[in-house]
Amino acid sequence: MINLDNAAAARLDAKALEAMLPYLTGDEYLNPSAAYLPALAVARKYEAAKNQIASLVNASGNNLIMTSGATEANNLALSAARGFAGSAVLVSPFEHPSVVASAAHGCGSVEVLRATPDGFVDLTDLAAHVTDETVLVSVALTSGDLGTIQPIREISEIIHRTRQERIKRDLRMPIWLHVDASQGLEVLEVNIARLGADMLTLNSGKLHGPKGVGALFVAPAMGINLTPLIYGGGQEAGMRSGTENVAGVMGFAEAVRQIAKHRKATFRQLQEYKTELRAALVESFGAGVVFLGNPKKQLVSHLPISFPDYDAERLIFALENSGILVSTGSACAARKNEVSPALRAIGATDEVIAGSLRISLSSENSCREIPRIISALRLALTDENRAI
Amino acid sequence: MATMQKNKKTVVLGMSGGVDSSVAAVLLLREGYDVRGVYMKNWSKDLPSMRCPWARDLADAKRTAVRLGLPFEVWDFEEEYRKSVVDYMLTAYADGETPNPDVMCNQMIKFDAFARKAFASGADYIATGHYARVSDNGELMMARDAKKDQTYFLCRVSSDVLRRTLFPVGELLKTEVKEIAASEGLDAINKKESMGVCFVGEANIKEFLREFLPAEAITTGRVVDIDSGEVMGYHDGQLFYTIGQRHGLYLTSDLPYYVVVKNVNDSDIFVTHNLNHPNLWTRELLLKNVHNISGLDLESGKYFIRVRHQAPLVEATFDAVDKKIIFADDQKMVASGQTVAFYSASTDGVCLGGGIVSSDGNSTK
Repeated sequence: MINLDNAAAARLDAKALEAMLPYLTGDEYLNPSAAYLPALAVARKYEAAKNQIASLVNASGNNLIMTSGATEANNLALSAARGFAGSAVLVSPFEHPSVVASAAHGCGSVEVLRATPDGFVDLTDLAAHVTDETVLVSVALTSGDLGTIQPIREISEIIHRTRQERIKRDLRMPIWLHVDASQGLEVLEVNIARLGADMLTLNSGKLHGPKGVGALFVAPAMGINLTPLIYGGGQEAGMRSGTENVAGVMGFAEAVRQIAKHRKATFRQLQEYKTELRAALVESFGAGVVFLGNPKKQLVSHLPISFPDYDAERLIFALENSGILVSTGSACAARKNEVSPALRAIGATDEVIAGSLRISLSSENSCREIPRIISALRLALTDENRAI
Repeated sequence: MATMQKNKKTVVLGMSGGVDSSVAAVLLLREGYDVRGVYMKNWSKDLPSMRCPWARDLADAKRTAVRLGLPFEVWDFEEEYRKSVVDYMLTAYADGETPNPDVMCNQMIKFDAFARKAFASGADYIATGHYARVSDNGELMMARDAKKDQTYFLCRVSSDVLRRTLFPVGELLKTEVKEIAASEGLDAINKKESMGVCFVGEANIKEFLREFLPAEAITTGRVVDIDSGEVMGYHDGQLFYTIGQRHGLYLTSDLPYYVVVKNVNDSDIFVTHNLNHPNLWTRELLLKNVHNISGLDLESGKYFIRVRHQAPLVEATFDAVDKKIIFADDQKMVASGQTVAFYSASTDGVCLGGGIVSSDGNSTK
């Protein structure tokens, strides 16, 4: 089986699993909140793991709220925008449904920003839409569908200037930037201070850590008031009650360690893969294949393509018969039979959208797979699999 | 090659994503037909507990078509379905009846709108994954697998369409269908049993009705023991309950109780613990909209009757003037709005037609 859909799920790193076991079946299964010393030792390791995870974006573990995944982290981030009279939220056209759907609940008016045809948030459109009511801007680090790396620094600059300008006018309405960094950190090096995000979502499952673990980074001293989604024993500074998922967090931390250790090698490996696969696609299908998004600012792990006029879903089914897993749009969009908002936003034609495939790689992919992918695609591109 | 292609008969196969229609596709291909797969999109609206109820079925059907190399299309019958099945269902429920949407869907959509579109597009035949057979002269025959026979659901289609209909799995036992699915590697795709339900399962019918009926049509009230007059509990909407129903009652007693009376003009539902209560049994049923598959009128005389899917065939006499069935023995009460299917008393396994139980005169004895 060849997995070209690593953005949907990445295999748990063997070392991450190993790091989890003492907290599951070993003696460190204890509740970190308990009073006895062995539990305190677990609590200390938990805090160290949070620091390790935070190091992924050069932040401190104290500023992380561990969650049950990126969806919860995104929901928690959006809670910052609630409770303001007449507030407005701006979201990029590349957001995960957990951002958009959460924003639709009590965050005031929600506007989706325009995209440029090559797959980025339109900065002019952003500047035009930031008003005195704007309290939160949410932009994913990368487009899940296109892999395009968003101009977060430029966006945070705009927000920073807006903030300063509001203070000068004695306007008390805050404005924050939330960045969903669920995807891309396997190959991108990110420094939270340089990025300028006030909140940032992390996702274990996409980084070869255990699924069901995520985190929200919240910048200190920015006046961000979150409303907990879950109340109870007051864990995670009261922001996320429930006994800590110690094993999950340990696994995430180890996955982060492995990512950082191998990032350069992974980058080179995927870059080589992507270059070769792209060349092979052009050689085999010529103008029949379309590449989406600006390749210069695109994750090396992502190769979004389209075979216009074909029905991507049929191609997926045909490719799975050849043992190749690939998705169209984002996994969630495909299941609901809805067109990817990102592809719509960049102005892709109906034909291009219909035939769009998202290839997403991880360190597990090897260039040796490419000939098999090409021959499987040749088999899949039959008249029966054209869109009607 | 070209001449061979020409001689091939074209079949438009309704593919539901279930194992039966998928195996039907395999069988038709083995017979040498030119098969075109079609998914009938009848309902795409979200329900409160069900997002995109059709997406999964469509994906399964499409995946099967790709696997078998069939051309595949989605045909949209949402408008027809809304008019002839959903509106019919809502009206019937609002009138206190318990309609059967599957029977209506077969009559109005699969063996009418779909068939007409298929024939208009040049198909020689339509095919579905139903367990049924068609005789040489267009009669509807019970399936070889008596346990899976679905002629009850098909009792209101017409022989004009049946003459051009193929039921490839009708000659097979379910176990054989499963074996074929496994041998073709389709078993992993078509896991779920095809229940014949068009778009909402039994469990969701309440939510569906809540969503689409005006709130005032749903009258809540008391559940009263008809024998003692005691209030046993409360119900969340009279129209959700059917005469003879036992489950889904939230009562003070642990004993089994059955719905015996529901009256559209009164919010109470009456129940009994007495399984011999006369309202739970009937010797006669008044029908409306009696349909004969052949297109002629059903004559008075002796028939075998089936009052629900998979119920045994029972002897009865039909009075064509009064549209009344008189059973040889007492039968469990059949709710108004339900379908009764007629089978020939002289020829084994021939389904002749079906009528709808009228709400006049049947609710009490």
